[in-house]
Amino acid sequence: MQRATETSDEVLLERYRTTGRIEYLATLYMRYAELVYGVALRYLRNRADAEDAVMQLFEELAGKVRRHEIRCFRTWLHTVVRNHCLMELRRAGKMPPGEFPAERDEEAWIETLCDGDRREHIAAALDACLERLPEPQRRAIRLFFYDDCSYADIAAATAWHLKSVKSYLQNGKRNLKICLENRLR
Amino acid sequence: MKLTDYISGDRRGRGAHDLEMQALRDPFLAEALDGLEQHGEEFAAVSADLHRRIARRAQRTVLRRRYRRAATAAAACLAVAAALFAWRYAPQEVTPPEAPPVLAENLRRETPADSLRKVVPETPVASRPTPPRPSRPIAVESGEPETSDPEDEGSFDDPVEPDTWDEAAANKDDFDNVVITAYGSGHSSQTTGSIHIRGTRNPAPEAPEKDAFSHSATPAKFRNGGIVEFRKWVQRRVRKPQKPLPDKASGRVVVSFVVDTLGRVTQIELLRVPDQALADEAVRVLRRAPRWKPARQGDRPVPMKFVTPVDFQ
Repeated sequence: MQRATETSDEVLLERYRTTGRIEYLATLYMRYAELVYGVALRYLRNRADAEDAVMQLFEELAGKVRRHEIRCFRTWLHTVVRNHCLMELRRAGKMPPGEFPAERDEEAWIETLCDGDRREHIAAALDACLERLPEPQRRAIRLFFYDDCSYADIAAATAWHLKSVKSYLQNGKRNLKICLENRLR
Repeated sequence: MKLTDYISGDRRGRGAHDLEMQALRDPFLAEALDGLEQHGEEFAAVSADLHRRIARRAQRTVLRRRYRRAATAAAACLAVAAALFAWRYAPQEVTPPEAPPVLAENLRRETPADSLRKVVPETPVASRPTPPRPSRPIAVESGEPETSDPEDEGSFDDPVEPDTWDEAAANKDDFDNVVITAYGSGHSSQTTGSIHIRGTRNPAPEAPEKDAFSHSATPAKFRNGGIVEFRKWVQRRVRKPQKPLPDKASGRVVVSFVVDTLGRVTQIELLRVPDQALADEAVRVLRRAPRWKPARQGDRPVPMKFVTPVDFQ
């Protein structure tokens, strides 16, 4: 999330490319250091390796940035981190973690769910489909998307485990999507 | 909400929700959150540390860049200075590595026969980049006042033949004409070290000599003179014995020495010793001799051997 006052990623990148000064690249990378660390943690599963990955990637960053055309730094960096971690795992002979459940084509659908105005548009269908959901899923959906509760909030309110919260939400989303697609065809 | 706050906090409230919402749209954040949820202990500390390390690493590059610029500038200045320096001062002559004199200033009391048959003291072969030249000895006359060339410009073309020593001949005054040999390269195999006493000059090469001396060779110089000057210098300084001596021969010590490539008087050897005290005195004076200008062959300094009498009468 970038505030308007901050220089955008692309501007920083451009400045680095023209001047070659490492300070721009460092500033840019520091914005994403935590995310890089987190993703590395997910794949490599230990803190030391994840920290090494963060620093190693910084070393390689200058070269990569110069070599590739980057449309969106954030997504590009994510791919780079993921590939680096997968290669590390392969080299060490370890198994990669499971495929992340986030499905791309859900994006637009989730946007619809999140946006109040758009919800209005399909309000009738949405309500009908919501009613058809199992109770936990409906409750989770309402709390999260309508009431802006966090997972922890929902867990506190319902006394469910965090994992259950996420599971209900995930399934609820899927079912809603299918139902709505049927209705809105 | 900041990631560190989310991970280390209770993850409740609107801020947390918004982050979670964002994770639905952003797979990067989603994966990071997943990893942090499993292994995100001390995340705040780790995060701060990572930021510091990145900044430090970037600073290293900045410093390296500055250093490189300074180093290039300095190198450029040095190159200019070196060029000026080299241009200003002509390069010095390179003196070839000198073989350590094994018998430097070594006094040998020996009969003339022994000394002259013996090969010049072995010096270890000094490694040279240039191929060893055959030692063409420079034949020069000894410094007797009678000889007519003060500069010792004898002929340089006559190498000396090893000859047997004739004891009878030695007793005569034939030391007045002594042929001096010089070493071409210091290789023991190539030095004859021998002296032919009669002033005759027979060309007798040990090996077929191509010539190394055909281009300019100069003998060693002593104070703008040569062996003649040096003999004068020596004679002025030797202390004469108290008691008179029976005859001229017994008042004469014959010595040989080598003027090395640095002009030092070395390898002093006694060839004729009628009296030990006289010999000691002669050696004493020789040891204190100032430096010569070494003999040169082409543009290289070469050692040169001299034989000279020292008179005490």
